[in-house]
Amino acid sequence: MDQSTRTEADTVLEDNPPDARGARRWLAEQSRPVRLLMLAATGSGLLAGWITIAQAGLIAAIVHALVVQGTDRNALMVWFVLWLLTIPLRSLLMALREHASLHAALGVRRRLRQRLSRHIMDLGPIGVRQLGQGRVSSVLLDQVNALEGYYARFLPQLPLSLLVPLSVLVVVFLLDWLAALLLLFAAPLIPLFMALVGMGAATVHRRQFQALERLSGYFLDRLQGLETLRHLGRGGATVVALQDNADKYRRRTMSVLRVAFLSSAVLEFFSSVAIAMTAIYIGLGLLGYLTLGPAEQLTLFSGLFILLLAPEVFSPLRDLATHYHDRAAALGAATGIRELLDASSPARPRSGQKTVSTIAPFLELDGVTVSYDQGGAAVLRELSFEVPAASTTLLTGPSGSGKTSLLMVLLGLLDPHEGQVRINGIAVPELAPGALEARVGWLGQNPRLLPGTIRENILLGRPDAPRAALESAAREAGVLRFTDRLPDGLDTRVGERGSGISGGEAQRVALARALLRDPPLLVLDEPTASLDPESRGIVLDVLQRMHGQRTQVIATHQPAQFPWADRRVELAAAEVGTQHHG
Amino acid sequence: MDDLIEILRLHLKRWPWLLAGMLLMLATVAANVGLLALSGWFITATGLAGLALAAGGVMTLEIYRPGAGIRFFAVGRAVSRYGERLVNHEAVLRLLADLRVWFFRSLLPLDSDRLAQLRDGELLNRLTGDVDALDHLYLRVAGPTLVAVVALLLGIGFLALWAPGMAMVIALILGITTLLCTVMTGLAGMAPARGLAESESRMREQVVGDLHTLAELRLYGATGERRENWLGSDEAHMAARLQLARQSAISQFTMQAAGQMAVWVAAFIGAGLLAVGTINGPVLALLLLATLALSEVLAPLPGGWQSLARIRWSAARLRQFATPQSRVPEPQSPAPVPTDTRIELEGVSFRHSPWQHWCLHHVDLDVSAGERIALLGPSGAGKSALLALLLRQRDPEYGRIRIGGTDLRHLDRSTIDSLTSYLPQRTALFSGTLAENLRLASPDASDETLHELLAAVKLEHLVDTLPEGLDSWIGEHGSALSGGQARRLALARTLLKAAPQVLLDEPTEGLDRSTEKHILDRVDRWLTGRGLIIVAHDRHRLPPVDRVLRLEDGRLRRI
Repeated sequence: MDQSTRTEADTVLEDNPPDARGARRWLAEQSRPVRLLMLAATGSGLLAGWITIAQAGLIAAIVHALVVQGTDRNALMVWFVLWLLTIPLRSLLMALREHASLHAALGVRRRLRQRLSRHIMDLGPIGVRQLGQGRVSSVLLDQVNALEGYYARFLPQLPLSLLVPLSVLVVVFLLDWLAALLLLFAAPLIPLFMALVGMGAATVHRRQFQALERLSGYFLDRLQGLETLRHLGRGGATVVALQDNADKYRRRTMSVLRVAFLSSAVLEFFSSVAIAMTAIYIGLGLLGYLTLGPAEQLTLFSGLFILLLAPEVFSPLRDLATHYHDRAAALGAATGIRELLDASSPARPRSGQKTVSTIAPFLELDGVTVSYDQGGAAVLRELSFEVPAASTTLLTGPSGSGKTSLLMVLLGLLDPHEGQVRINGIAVPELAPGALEARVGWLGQNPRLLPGTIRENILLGRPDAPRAALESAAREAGVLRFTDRLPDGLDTRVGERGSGISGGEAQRVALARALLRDPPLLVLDEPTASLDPESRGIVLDVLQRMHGQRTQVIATHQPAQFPWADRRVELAAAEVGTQHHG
Repeated sequence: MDDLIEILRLHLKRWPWLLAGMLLMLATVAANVGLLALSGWFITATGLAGLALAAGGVMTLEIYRPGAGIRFFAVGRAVSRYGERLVNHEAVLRLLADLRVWFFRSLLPLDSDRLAQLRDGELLNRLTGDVDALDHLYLRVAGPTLVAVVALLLGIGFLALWAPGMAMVIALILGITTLLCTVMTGLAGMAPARGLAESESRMREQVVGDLHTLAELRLYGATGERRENWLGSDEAHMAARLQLARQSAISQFTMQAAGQMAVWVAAFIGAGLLAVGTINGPVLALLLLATLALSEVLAPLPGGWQSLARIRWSAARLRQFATPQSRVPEPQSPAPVPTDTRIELEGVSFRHSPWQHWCLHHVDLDVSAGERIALLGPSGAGKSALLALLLRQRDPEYGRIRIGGTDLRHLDRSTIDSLTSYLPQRTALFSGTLAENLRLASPDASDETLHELLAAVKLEHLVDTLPEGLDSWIGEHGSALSGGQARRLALARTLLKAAPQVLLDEPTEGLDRSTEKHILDRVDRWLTGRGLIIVAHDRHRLPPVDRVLRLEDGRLRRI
């Protein structure tokens, strides 16, 4: 299991994440744009609750008329028809409630996804790496989805769990205040009850989650190493161990659940007993055995009405309890989402006007200091050097000396903490958005291909490139040499789960991509490390041919591979010395 | 449905728990119906009796038994609900364990490269998510459906005791709507459930892939377009979600209306029966309230049936993954375990796929038992492929490989595994203690042996500093260890396994020179009497070997 799922689990596990109050407020803020839908959901839920009350009244009245007054069925036709009409109306309102609350939840989700995805793109590769790729994707994918239950179920139910029982109690109070008191008594102050339910539900959720998480961790661990276990001859033994482990956790979980379920059992018990006591109270009152309070005024109508209403006091509370885990999940997710949104981008969006010409540019670095964290240790300190136009400059130095960071600064993906980078004399922050990107080609150490075809990957640099240009770039970069052997040629699918092409072949695709774009500035990070001899030869050939036409900055451990380079900049731990090469 | 049969079979093994769970669900329903129906009867009866008494008449009504009945049902409802939750949780936890063990077992015979895919975290998460989804089959589909059907039958029978005609009509209303709704949601829900799962995994793939390539996307100005793609998949997902919600809203609407209609019909027909004297007032109230309580059992059905689509989808994906694609078929009748471990390669040719270069081209090699060989060559030359062939993770395209004179293809996998001890480039450690991880290779190894072994791989210092020594927990996948420590622990485990042929793939990769030298000087005594094939980069960084071979351009040369 990767890091992200673990951190996510940890946040969910905590009943109250570090900043629970802040998380709750944030969750509430997100629902503001959809508050009309939320209101519609709650409103239709409340209306449906009122119709339920009316239906109970109708049923009680009909039974009373039939049984006590001996009225003929035909004389009650109006009531029957009225009842019939409320049936679809109530169902319609319930459907409306579901619909409105789901739309509200999806509205929140849509806005958040838009905001998060824009923010992730602004963070760029450096910002995403700092946060952890797994964590970022888990926030965007899983944690946003984890909010759905909160907005679709919990939040609309919250006011209903108070308003519906209250409405019912008011009606019961008007009919017979003692019965209302009895019901109130059974649920000693509804808010208190809700707190109890909430705590119980949260405990159940947390315990279950914890046990399942540990069990899943064990299972994942064994699945991932299944090949090793089998080679060690432990396949059968692991099956037994899995079973034992599951049994152990089951026993532990159940001992917790036995207690945790009691809180909802208490609610269940009180609601059952309340209904029973109400029924018995009404029965004795009707018989005239009870003379206290309003008992003498009870009729079959009011008695039956109250009996039918009694379960309605408790069922909204029970619904809320079943949705309580949605709240716990949302609080955990909110923490993760807010952390991502609060992370600041390592390269501020540029808003200047200036552009970079298509002629090989010259670069100037002036006192560039780079550190990844505010106030953290500097990776590069006060670095100054120049890269003449159309020259090839090698960056060398031990690993950890900041070569890659420097390249990231040149690419505009990382802002220097202090100092300035100028291209053709223009400071990078003065450039228009995308102006730098339009003129730079990039080849990394581990070529990254997008899931898709080889053709799509090459076209990424210039989506409107004519076919001939694409093919000549592919030929020059040695891509055609291996695609000619592939059944689908350039249309072979590659990437995460695509058919495997080797690292060297992927690097050639990345090279073709850079060539097609024809950039005046080329930035390369150990472009030949971990390549097979054929691919290495191709890459070096192409770079040498472009020497003198483009400005090239190459970070490398093997400067001897580039004997034609003009200059070499040696980076030592935060110190720099420039020397001419060759 | 094929995909679900095996899953159902697993469920059947747990029948006592499932039966108990369902009986308790049924008891809860029965207590609820009993509570409301008896209360209605009681109130009406007392109402009538009260009126008679007030009018001066004499009317005896036994109130203790009904009162006790009401209390019984009230307490019974709470108790059975509590019991039901406990039993069903127990059942589901057991089922989940069964499902996981079943899945693990079904993966055991798969090809190595299929198992290697499990290292992909996304795929692994998806598969385990699928396994977990299967436990909904009982809790959300089978359980509630069976309980609803039985409860409905019993309830209708109960109503028929007083009013058979009314019972028939109610049965028709509830039965037909339930059938229609569940079948409709089950069938119509297939397409959107599929769309939901597909758009979700599409978006996941897009996001994970794009986050890897974010530098390229930024530099090539493609972030806007990619973001649109993500959001597009999300819109597709939401559309499917809404479609499902609409379907379930329609069926819930219908079910609720049908339940209410049943009560209405009960009142309407009951009024007629009352007029002709077939039933009395209290029974009318009893029938009405019983119908009202009964119709609540049906509420969870449409939602449950909707999730059936997701369950089937998960089952199908698991089955597809666990279906062996025997690239290396097991022999029909395996040959006996060879007595010696001489390895012979005869004209062996191999490439990873038909359109790639030959890694090995007509390679001949003869390694006598106990001989030690080092294999050098540029990266990507096929050194690891040679080890894979010796382990029979793959078969050569041409040529033959024999061990102790027996063709590898005639040996079953467990025999080959027992003859070899292999350290791959990517090793797996497990959550557990240091000792547990080592003893996977030899369950009976003494603490002393483990200490000596750890000293050989220069981990004795680590063990000494850990508070619990050999019994220290090393975290998930050994996450408490550094990369180098994990590598050395895996090497120690490989050395501990008592197999006559040891295969090491770059055992000291990523270690500093002094640690490497320490280890290379000490592994010798753990290899006594065993054969060794070691893959390395540098001929000066090897343990003592008998021969050094170089693999380049598909050919082996002695150097």
